[in-house]
Amino acid sequence: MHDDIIRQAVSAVSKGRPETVHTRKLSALLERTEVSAPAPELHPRYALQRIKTAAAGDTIRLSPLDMLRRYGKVSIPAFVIVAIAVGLTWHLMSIPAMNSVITAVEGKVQVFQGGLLSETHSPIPLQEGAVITTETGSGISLETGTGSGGKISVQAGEKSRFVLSRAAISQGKMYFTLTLEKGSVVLHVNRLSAGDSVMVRAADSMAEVKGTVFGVAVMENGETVYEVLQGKIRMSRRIPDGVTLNSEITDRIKSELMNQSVILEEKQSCRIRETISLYRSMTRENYTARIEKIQRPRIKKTPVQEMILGLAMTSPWEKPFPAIVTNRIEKSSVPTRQQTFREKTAGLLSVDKIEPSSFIMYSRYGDFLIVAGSNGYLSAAGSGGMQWDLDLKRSIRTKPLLMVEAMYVGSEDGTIISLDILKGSLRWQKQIFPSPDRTVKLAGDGDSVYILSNRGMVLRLKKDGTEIWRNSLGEEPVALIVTQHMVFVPGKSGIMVGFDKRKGIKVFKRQFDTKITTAARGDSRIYLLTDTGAVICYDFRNDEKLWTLDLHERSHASMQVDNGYLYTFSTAGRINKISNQGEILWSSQVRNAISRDPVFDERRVYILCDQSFYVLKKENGLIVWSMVSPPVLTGNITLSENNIYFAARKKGVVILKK
Amino acid sequence: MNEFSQTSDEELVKIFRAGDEKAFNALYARYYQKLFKLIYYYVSDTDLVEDVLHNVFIRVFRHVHTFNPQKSFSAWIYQIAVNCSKNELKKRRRNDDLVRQAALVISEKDEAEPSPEDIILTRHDIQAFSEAVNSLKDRFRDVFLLRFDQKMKYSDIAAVLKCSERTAKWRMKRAVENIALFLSDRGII
Repeated sequence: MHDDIIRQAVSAVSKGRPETVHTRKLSALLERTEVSAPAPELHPRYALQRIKTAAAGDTIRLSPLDMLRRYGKVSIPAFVIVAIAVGLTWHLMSIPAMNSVITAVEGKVQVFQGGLLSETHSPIPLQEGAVITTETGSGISLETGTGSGGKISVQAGEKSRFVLSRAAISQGKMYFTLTLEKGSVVLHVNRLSAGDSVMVRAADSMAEVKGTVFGVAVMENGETVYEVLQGKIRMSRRIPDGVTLNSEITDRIKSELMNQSVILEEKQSCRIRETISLYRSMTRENYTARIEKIQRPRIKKTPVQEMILGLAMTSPWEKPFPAIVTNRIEKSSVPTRQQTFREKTAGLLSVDKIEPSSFIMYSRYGDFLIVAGSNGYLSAAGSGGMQWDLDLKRSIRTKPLLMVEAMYVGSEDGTIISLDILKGSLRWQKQIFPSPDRTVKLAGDGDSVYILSNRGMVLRLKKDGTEIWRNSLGEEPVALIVTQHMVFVPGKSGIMVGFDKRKGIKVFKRQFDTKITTAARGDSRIYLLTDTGAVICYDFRNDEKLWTLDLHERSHASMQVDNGYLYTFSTAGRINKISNQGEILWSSQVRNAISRDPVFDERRVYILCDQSFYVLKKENGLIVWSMVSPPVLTGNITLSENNIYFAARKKGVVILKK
Repeated sequence: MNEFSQTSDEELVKIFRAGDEKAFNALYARYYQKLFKLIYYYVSDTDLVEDVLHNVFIRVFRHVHTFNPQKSFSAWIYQIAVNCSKNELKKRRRNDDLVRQAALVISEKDEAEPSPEDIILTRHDIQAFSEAVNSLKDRFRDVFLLRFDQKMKYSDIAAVLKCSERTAKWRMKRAVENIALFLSDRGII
């Protein structure tokens, strides 16, 4: 292999030199030696997992040694605990793990799992053995499914550290153990099956639960406080971690401590003092006397919120702590920012004849609300009461288009109707589509109205109803996007056609490889959501596909662009905020299906589900407040400066304070 | 991973792109040791090597779609590894960290006992050879190590080091000349 090179080198070296160069030796050195390198310290499988975890998310890559190097203050015992937790994770890998996910994060929260220390700002899945640390002013919510349809929600307050010691299903039973090292946690456990085990362990005590809401806090003086908000827990002491006793003593002490266990019921609390000093130098001779010093835990009737919630819910209203989202919010006794309907209602507006799937719009021009019923009955009401009403006697399935002084309504029979907003009078109406075409989308750009039919016909009308052009996509459309010079219409099959805005000529056509379910526009980009759950970002100015992001969720209800950021809303309740570079900035989860288009204001996203209402911060996706609403009738919600409006069965138009 | 033992690197990339993560595992297993050693040429700290290696595979994981399967995957991944290593060195030097390019230790391969006909290499010979390699200028040392230790083709070396194949060959020749000169001066050869 090296012969040529060696010959050349030898000849070069021999030039002018009297010595004989030992070519065979040089050859031997080149052939029979190698660079010695130490063996990698990380097991390849472990290293591979780190890579995949890091490549999948925005994480800081730190090995346990890195962690010790960087965080020199981390005590050796803490490090050992971390190492044990990681070891435990590996050891228990054969047991099917439950799905534990961080659902909301406030402030600086660190998660150490799989050898990685990550500063998390968005929901991430947790593995067994994960160590979660919250810093001052921070908090975190996580959820674990119980495997039987129920779930365990954990809410940790600031300056807490806990280990997700176990979250697994074994032989049909669910095992969940959380070890709280410091700080406070509130658990909300529901729908457990017989034999399931949910446990919170503190330094020298533990609590077992069977469907309840309770909190545990490890105080700075080493005491542990338990507080039950709903249901019952069995609380008992345990031999502190790190204490080694002979097996006979251990069994006896365990039995003694179990005998001392107490049942804590709703609104009761219990304070456990540190007992580790009693175990030091414990022998067969002295253990009886020492154990006698451990008193049965005393139950106190402590008002709810005094201790645990005082710790866990450190954030004031304006700086909310992540809310626990439950299936039935009104039944949750965790006093997060879940609001009652009464608390949030600023008023109810009685409007007759509101039909299901009606549309509601707030007109700044008229400073009143317009409700367009699916049966064609329209009414406008403001602070002065009813302004006008009009019965079009036509079925409406498309959200009307509100322009400055006029409103355009597309009816099911292919007619477009223009109304005067202030008077509620008919300005003009025109049959634009023959049956079975009907209007599915309306858009406006100041001086024209663009109408899209269910069969892909696109029309441009002047504001007085004069038709400027019409053209056809030739297939079922999914969206109508009006830009400065073009009108883009993506079709379900993956085609996107651009019509020249002036004459309606097809000037652009692009075929994507996948079916499109919805589309949204932001600046010079069009975001297309595919039926496989991927978002395609397409730059229409440069005719270039910029990126594709797979959201791994097929059922998307809506996709909207606000301030250059893309928001996707799935029917499973997942909300993603995506940067224009295609990175998920945060991902949040609400418990109920999102089926209506959410709305935005400067700081928040308002999401109306069938019987619940959520308000999220746009900045980080945290739920600012949520509430159970009466059954909702309207297909959308609308906002004014200070209020939120939607229509509800038996309530009329509901006005909520923002 | 055995299922991919007969599959070429480039084929594995295609499979991985198609969504089979096992292919990435196979690539990882194939290159883990080699790259570890390659990075070790530049960064002497084992922990640091692992960090750099980690970065290399993350880059591969994230940017594998940009790789052209018509080209050599090994050259591509080696190029990433060399770039990551050099970047790490630069970063450390900028931060005044005490990181030096690794002083490599060369030892005799333990795979085969030399036969009586073979030249006997003494510890002194090998130590001198190590010194000779370490005394090479970076550009010669890089080529020499890729060829001598990683057994790479000149075309791949050229791709990794972003030079022409001819330059790579010339640098290798110069490297061996310098080593020969070094050893000759010390009476080893």
